[in-house]
Amino acid sequence: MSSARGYVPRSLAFPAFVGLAFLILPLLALIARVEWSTFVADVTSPAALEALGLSFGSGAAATAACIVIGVPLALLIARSGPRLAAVLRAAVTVPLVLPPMVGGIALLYLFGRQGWLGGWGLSFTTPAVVVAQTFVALPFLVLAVEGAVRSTGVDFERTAAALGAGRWTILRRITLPLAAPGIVAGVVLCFARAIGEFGATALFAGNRPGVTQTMPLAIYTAFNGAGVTQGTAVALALLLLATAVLVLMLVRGWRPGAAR
Amino acid sequence: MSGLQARVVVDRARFRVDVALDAAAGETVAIMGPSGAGKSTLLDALAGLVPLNGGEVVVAGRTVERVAAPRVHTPPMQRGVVLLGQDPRLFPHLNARENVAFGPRAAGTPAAQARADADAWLDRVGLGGLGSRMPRELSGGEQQRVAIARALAASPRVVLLDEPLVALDPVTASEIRGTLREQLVGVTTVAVTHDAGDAVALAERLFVIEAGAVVQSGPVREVLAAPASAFVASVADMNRMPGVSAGGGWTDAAGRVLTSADAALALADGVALAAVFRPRDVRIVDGPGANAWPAEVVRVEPTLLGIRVHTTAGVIDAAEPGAAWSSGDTVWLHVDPSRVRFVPLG
Repeated sequence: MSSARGYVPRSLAFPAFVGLAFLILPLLALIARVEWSTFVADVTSPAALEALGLSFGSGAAATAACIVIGVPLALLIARSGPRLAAVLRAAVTVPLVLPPMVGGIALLYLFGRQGWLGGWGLSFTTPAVVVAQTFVALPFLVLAVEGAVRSTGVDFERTAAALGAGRWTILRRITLPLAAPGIVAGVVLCFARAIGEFGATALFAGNRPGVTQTMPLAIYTAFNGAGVTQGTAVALALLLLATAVLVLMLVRGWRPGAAR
Repeated sequence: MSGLQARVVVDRARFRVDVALDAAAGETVAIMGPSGAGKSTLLDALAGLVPLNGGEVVVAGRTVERVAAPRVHTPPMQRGVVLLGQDPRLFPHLNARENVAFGPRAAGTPAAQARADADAWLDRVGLGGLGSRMPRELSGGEQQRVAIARALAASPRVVLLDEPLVALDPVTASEIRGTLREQLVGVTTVAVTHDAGDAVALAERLFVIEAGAVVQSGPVREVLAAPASAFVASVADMNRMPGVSAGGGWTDAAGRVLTSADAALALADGVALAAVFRPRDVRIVDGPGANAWPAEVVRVEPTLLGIRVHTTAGVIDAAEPGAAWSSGDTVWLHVDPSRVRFVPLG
């Protein structure tokens, strides 16, 4: 590996370690605050379980929704001409860089009582949580899958077509399997983003325990002196941290054996 | 009617490709031409990847594309035309067996049957027992063999070869050429190649395409022996000098004169003829004489058998590696008239 080191100035190691410490120390401080004696009781308290179940349930539903609409969208962008693809990609990226609060307000103006689709009665319900999470998580999935599909190119699809395969066969046996690393990465990132969602959910779905109060909202509420105890909040925060690490390991650990 | 009949007209940015091509059922025809002559465009059009601006394509008696009314455009998946290129393009996520079984499975053959057939195909191309290898575990030559098996397992009506041997080392290329010869018997094939040897080995007839049009066609050896253009002469490794018949001999614009008993020269004077002869039949002689002409040396290249001298008026293969010619020298070239063919100029 020594040949990969290059000739970066050695003194840059100092700010590098500061940066690393800045990222790691707060997490260590959080872990240090966990009351291990009551940890199990904290995360299994009815309020915590409610938030936990709601978070994972809505996160899974949002991820499923993202797959159903995101993979086709990614395929559309990947197979568009360069100019249209750039426009579509920009449109998909907007929710990614938008503060989630703004996303929540925007959703409220579309689905809220006074909104264009207010008749659906969606705001401040559990489905609204899923909608908010889908809104913020979809770009992650679309961009990851789109990148994978585009970099694979159309040559394998053309080869498959010449061998007599129809469009659906090509999608099922060639395009999607070749994009599998991107799809897995996209799904995992999408799920992580969905269960961590706070801003859009708070504005569009509200903070009703058992209905729309997901883990991030429960934690926030606890530190404002209401809802679950702070011990429970810390335990939930630790769970979110553990989920994030697990997600990271899933993405990194995915070493596509088959694809180049 | 079976085999392949096509007239392909495709407008490109710089020129128009307009090629009429036919191959009898089971016949292999070769396509040669300089880079950019439209060979790849022709193959893409036959495969259905590039729309035609004119003409039609008939595969095994079925019109798969026609521009004139009633317009026909059959998508690539329903043409039965399979392309084998320089890159084997094996599906990287499928093992060799599944790659070969892909076409039959797409056509509805039950998976178990398709896999068994695929193993038989792998046997036929010399890869018996390697069915479970992934493409990346195979050498370039083995990948190309799998690609051949995969193409033929799909029971194509026409196979298009686009220089499938170019990326391989000479030994492997020769082996794969042998495999192609064996396996393409009875399969209608259009083979694009840069190598006259491949054309002779694989094809019965040769079409030469330059600037989007067929400039010469016919049985491979006949075309190569009677090059109608500088390009064909260069791939056939022949000298070709345009001129006219004159007084029972041949003369060209530079005043070079060859005498010959060739029947072509019994024609009236002034018939345009190209003098065609092999570099190894040319001698460098001391000075002027019958059937000799002066030329300036352009460059001297060592070759496996000696040296090759490129001059302003012909290429010479000589056996003397230590010869003292260098660029700029004037030398006298002589060719035995019995070694010269005179080819009518188009």
